Amino acid sequence: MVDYRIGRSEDELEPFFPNEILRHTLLTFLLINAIMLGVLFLPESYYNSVDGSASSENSIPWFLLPFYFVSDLIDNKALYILVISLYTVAFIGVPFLDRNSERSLWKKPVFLSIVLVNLLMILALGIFKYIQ
Amino acid sequence: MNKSGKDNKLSHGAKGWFDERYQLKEIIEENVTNKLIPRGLSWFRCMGGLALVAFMIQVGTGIFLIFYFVPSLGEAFNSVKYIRHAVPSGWLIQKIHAVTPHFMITLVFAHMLRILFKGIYKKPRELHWVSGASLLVLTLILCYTGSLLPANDLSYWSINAVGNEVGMSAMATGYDEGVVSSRGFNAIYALHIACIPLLMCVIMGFHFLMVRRTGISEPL
Repeated sequence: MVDYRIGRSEDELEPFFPNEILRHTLLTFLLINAIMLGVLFLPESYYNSVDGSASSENSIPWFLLPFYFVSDLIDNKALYILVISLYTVAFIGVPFLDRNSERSLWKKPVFLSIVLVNLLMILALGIFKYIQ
Repeated sequence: MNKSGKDNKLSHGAKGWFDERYQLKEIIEENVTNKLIPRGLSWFRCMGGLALVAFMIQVGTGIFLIFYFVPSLGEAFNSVKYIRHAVPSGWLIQKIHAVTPHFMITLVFAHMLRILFKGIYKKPRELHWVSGASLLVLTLILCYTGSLLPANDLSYWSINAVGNEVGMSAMATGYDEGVVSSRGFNAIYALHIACIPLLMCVIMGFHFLMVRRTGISEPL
């Protein structure tokens, strides 16, 4: 395992316990608080509709909205599966597609544009499906 | 032997028993108490760990729900109603299990965005990204299969809108004009409670091991 003392002076180091453990513990409690607020205030999605027909299309989880919208746009099942699979493979293979040795995204305008376009596209697809 | 000596012997007894057999003291000192990390780490570096906490909350609440959930098309919705209205604190466990995926997805996505914008996926951490991106995809699939299990209106729309296209209708579910077969529903249940979580645990194990091996990335 990595020894962080190599190449660093004592001033540049801090103990893992309790500093990092405390950070994680505090944020975990904040997360639990946020979950409890969600339990109290987020709307229910498990009810069936009153009239027996499936009418709760608007209760689709927000993180699945882009997939639903794309499935509405593409009628061909095989094409839809191909598009989603290719996108997933490209997403997983980002380190092998981005051959630039520069780390910061802000110094790579082409890749930054691709990332921003994709993020905006996913956001837009989700919003369109929600409005629909 | 006086009383304080006897107390010391008792308090060190269990710890000494484990340490004698497994040498845990050295492991704990090396990895926790004596470990030093770079000073000034951002709080945003904790998002991956929080996503793990959210996953563990899901596993914990899911295990409680397994005792009462009936994986049958006809009884699933009724069993969810039973959990919410009849089981002590069932409403709380079920609601936590329903709400936590929203936070888990947000945390995994935010963690991914931080890695992307800081270029932390560069050499030698390419496989960190591959395993992390795979975990994001598996998390989305897990949330999708979970939304199908209550067998309510949302599940109906899910299976019709997306399930058709990914072939669940033809292969796994025996779908026939809007009706999902029991065998298919059991397949979704097995995927949600066993296959995908186990796969995620294995990939997470690799992800954490790789992070430990390569260490925290240098700031930009």
